Amino acid sequence: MYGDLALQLVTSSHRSTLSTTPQLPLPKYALPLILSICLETRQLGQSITSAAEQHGQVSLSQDRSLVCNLTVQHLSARRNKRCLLAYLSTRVGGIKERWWDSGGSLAYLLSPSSSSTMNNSDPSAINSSESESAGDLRNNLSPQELDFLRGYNNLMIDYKSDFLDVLDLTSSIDRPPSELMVDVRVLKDAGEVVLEGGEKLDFRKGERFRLNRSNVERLIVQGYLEEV
Amino acid sequence: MSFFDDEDDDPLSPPTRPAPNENYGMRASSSREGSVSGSSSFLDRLRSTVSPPPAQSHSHNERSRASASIFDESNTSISGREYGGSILGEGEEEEDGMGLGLGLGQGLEEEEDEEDMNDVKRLGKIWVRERGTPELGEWKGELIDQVFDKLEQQQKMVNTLRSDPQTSEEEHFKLMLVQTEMERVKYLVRSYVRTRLHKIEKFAHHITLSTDMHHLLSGAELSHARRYTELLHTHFQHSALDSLPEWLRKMDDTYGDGLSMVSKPNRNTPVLIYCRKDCGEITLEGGERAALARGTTHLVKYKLVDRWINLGWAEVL
Repeated sequence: MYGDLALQLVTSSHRSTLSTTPQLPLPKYALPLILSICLETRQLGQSITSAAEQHGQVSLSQDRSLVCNLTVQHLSARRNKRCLLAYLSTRVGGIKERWWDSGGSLAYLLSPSSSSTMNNSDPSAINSSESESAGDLRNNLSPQELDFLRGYNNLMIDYKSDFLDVLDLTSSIDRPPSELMVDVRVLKDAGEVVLEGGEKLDFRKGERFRLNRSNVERLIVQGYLEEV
Repeated sequence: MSFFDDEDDDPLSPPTRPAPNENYGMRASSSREGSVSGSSSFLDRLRSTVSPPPAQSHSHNERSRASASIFDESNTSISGREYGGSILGEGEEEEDGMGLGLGLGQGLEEEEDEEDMNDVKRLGKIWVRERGTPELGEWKGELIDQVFDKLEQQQKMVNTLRSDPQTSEEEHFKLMLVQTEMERVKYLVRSYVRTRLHKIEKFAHHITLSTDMHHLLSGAELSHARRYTELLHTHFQHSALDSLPEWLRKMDDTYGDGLSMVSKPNRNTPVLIYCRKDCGEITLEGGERAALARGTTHLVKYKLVDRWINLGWAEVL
């Protein structure tokens, strides 16, 4: 039946959005399915044009079965397009969400190494699933989506540069800050970090610090530090 | 006290005004009479940029009580606004608003309705409104700029005072409160900007197409909307549309059932509003009429009340 494949695509995409907490890794880009949907749509398109040409203008107004046939094919083709776009834009939403979650750091989002070190240092369930999504994101995206992510990253860098002298737009807005200082534990070596006040700190795994939240927000988001 | 002298050319800092701060200084530090006047002068300056006039906090409490009696959940959204209030505000209730900074006065005259508002309060208001409505509101660039200016000034002041060895322990504690407050203001701005960005990206195509909406956006936002639309469409073209028959490649089709590919804000979204003024009557979908009397709270479709919201007669909660 026309549209079956598209339905499959949309249902699976819908299912993947249902469980957002905890965030599952973005499913792999369904390239084969998309290709076959495109193929089906092209065949529909050809069949519509050839049918219309064969019968010409005259019969189109008389032959009701032909009109019906064409309408069904037309609608299926449009439906396929809509399903494809729905699938893509759902994924775009997921990609953007992950970009914001990572604090706007493209390098962190796409680095596969971050997952392996994370898994060794911290086996807890939430963290490992997060790191998987971060590590595997590159593999699960299509090349076009990767381009989109890069483009989006550039766009946001441009936009937030207006604000950067006062605040970092990409830090978390989960809840309003209630404390200035935060207790953190270092989960993995982050090396020497220069803080806002000019002081240098060497973050080594296992150490604990009490620091200004705005200073280390980014490191917390990226999983180097953990709030205690 | 010599360290205050170099800041005297600061336009926002009023000359020494001892009266309104005495009780604050006393409460915080009963043991150090000697430096009370000094600390009050720096608190004055700090307060002139951060905290809200106490008068507002009273009327506000009344209002939240009133709306809470009608609709309990509204408390949750109100708390977002209350949050704009200062931590320093705890000690300020007894003061009469007269001692507050000069910087506030200028902004107030612009809005007749909202005499008692300072920047942070207004920021809280537009933030709640932006989050509550389905449509994009007007970009309050002026207010954001003002807030940024003040944040910057504040930061400078905090830095100066923090590095000064004469600053006492208790003053350090107060500085911490000030800094926390600054972080919270920054959070407001961040959330406001990101809420707008979210809407802009969602309706990017619609926004770029309809020129009458452009005045609502800042320049940066508009160019972001344009470039985002382009980026998204390129992505769609490359991923799928290019392999479809030619007549299916457009991004602004309208389907047979009148559904357009360009998504628009859903103006049927219900909004919770509080009427600051008498807003007359509206006619509901079923032909029923409802009066929007002053001081009442309603849950209605956005398109029915958007006029009042834009006028500021009704507030989104």
